[in-house]
Amino acid sequence: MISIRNLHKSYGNLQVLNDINIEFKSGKVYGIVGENGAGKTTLFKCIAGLEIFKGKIETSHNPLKDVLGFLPTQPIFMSYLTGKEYLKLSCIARDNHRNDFVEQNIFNLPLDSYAVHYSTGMQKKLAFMAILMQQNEVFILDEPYNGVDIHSNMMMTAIIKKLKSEGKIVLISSHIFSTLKETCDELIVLEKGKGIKHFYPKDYEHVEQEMKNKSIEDVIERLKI
Amino acid sequence: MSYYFTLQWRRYSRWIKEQGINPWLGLFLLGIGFIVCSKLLFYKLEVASWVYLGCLFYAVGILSGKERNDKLKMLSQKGIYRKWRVIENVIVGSPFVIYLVYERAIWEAVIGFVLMLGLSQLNGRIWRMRTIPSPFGRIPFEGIVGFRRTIILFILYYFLLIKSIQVDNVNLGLVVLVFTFATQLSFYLKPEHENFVWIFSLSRNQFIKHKWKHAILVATVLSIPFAVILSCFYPTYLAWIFAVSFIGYAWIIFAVLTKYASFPKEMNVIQGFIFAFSIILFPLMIFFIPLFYRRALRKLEHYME
Repeated sequence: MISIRNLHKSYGNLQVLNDINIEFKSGKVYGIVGENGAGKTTLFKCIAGLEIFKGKIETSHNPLKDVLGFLPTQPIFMSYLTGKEYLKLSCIARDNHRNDFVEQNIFNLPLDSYAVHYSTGMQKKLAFMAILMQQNEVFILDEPYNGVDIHSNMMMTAIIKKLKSEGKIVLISSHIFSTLKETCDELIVLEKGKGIKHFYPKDYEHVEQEMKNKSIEDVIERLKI
Repeated sequence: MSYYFTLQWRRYSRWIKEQGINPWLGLFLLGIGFIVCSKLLFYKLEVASWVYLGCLFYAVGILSGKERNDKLKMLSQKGIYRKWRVIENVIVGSPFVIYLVYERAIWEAVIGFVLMLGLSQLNGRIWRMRTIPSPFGRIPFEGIVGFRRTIILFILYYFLLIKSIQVDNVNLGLVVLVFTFATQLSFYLKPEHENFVWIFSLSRNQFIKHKWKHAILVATVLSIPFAVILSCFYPTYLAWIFAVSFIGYAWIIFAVLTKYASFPKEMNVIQGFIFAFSIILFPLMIFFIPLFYRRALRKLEHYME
C-alpha cells in the first residue's frame, strides 16, 4: 500500500500539487487524469522520489524506489546502447541477473540494434519491457499508450490486468479514456493546483461526457473557424 | 544561411558565459590550448602527424552524427544543408590542416583536407552502421558506450604500439599506454540521465563502489594488453609500465568521482580545472579523491537512501 498525506509541490510561485491525499492499494489499477500541466507527471516523480516535496508518502515497501518501475512519457536512452544492453542495465540495477531477454521479447523488438534508433513506439515498448523484467511491485506508467500500435496497445492492457491479478499497484496516466475505462478501478482527476476528485467505474460514462463537453466544445467555440 | 552560424555562436556564448568566462577570452584560450597541445604532440611523437589526422577525423566525425544531421535536414533545404555541413567541417577541421602544413606534413595535410570535405557529404551515414560488438555486454553502460564511441582511437593506438616496437621507441609505447587511459576518462565525464542512477537499488557507497569496479574492469580490458605487450618487449622498463598503469587506474577512479561530485549537472569550470590539474599533477589526487568522494555522496543523496 502507498499512502500520500498532505502532499504539496510548487515551482517558485507556481503551486502544482496542493494538499494531495490518496491511498493506493495492492491489486488495484489507478488512472490519474487531468489537463496538460495539471501535475500528473510531478505527482509521479514525487512518488518515485525524483522531486522534493512537502508532505508524507508512506509505504509498506521500504525503500519504495527499489520496487518501483517508472515508465516516463518519453523514455530516455543512451546512444550506442542496444535494446538488450538497456534491459540488462535495468535488471542489474535491481540486482537481478537474468539473461532471458530473447524469450521475454514479447513485442519482437530488434534487441541487437541501438535503442536510440528505435521508433517512438518501439522505445516505449522497450522501456515497458525493462520495468516488467525488473519484477517490481509498483508500476507508474506515464502515458504508456502514446505512439504504440493497436496490437501492442491491446497487449499492454492485458499485461496491466495481469499485474493487477498478481497484486501489484499500477498507476496510469493517459489521455485515451477508453483504455483507462477498461483497466482502472479508480480514476483520480487532478485539478491544476487545487486538489483531486475520485471517480469509480459507475461514474466513468459521466466523467467522459463531462470532459468532452467541457474541453472540446469550449475550444471549438474559441477557434472561430 | 549565416543565421545558422550566428545561432551556433550564441549557443557557445551562452554556455561559456554561464561558466563565468568572456566568449572572446574563451576562444582565445581555446586557440592557445590548441597550439600548445599541437606543439607538444609534434615535439614528443615521431608519428604525430598521423595521430593528428586521427584527431581531425574524430573532431569532424562528431559533426556527422545521425541525429543532428537528421534535425538539420528537416530544418533546411537540401542545398543549404550541404553548405552548412561543408562550412562546419571547414571551421572545425581547418586548424588541424593548417597546422599540418606548418609542420610540413604536406601529404597528411592533403589527406586531412579530403577527409574534412568528404565527411561533410556523408550525412551521418558512417555512424548509421551496424551495432559494433563490445566486450562489455555484461556490464552496461559506460564501458559499452565509451568503447563504441572510441573504437577508432583504440585501433589507432594498436597501430602506434606496433610502430613503437618496430622503431624500438619505448617512449612512444608509454605515451600510447597513457593515451589509452586518457581516452577512457571521456567515458566518465558526461553525466547520465538521473533515471539511470535512480533505478539502482544500492546505497550511495555501494553505488560508487559498483561504478569503480566496472570502470577498473573496463580499464583492465582496454589498457592492460598494451602494458603486457610493452612489458614483453621492454622488460627493463617494467617499473615505468607499472607506474603508468597505476596512475591510469587512479585517473579512472578520480573521473568516476568527478562525474558524481557534480551530478546531475556536468562539471563546472572550477571542477574542470581541478580535474585537469589533478590529472597532470597526479599527486594532487591524494587530496582531491576524498574531497570528491564526500561531495559525490552528497549529490547522490537525493537518488539513494
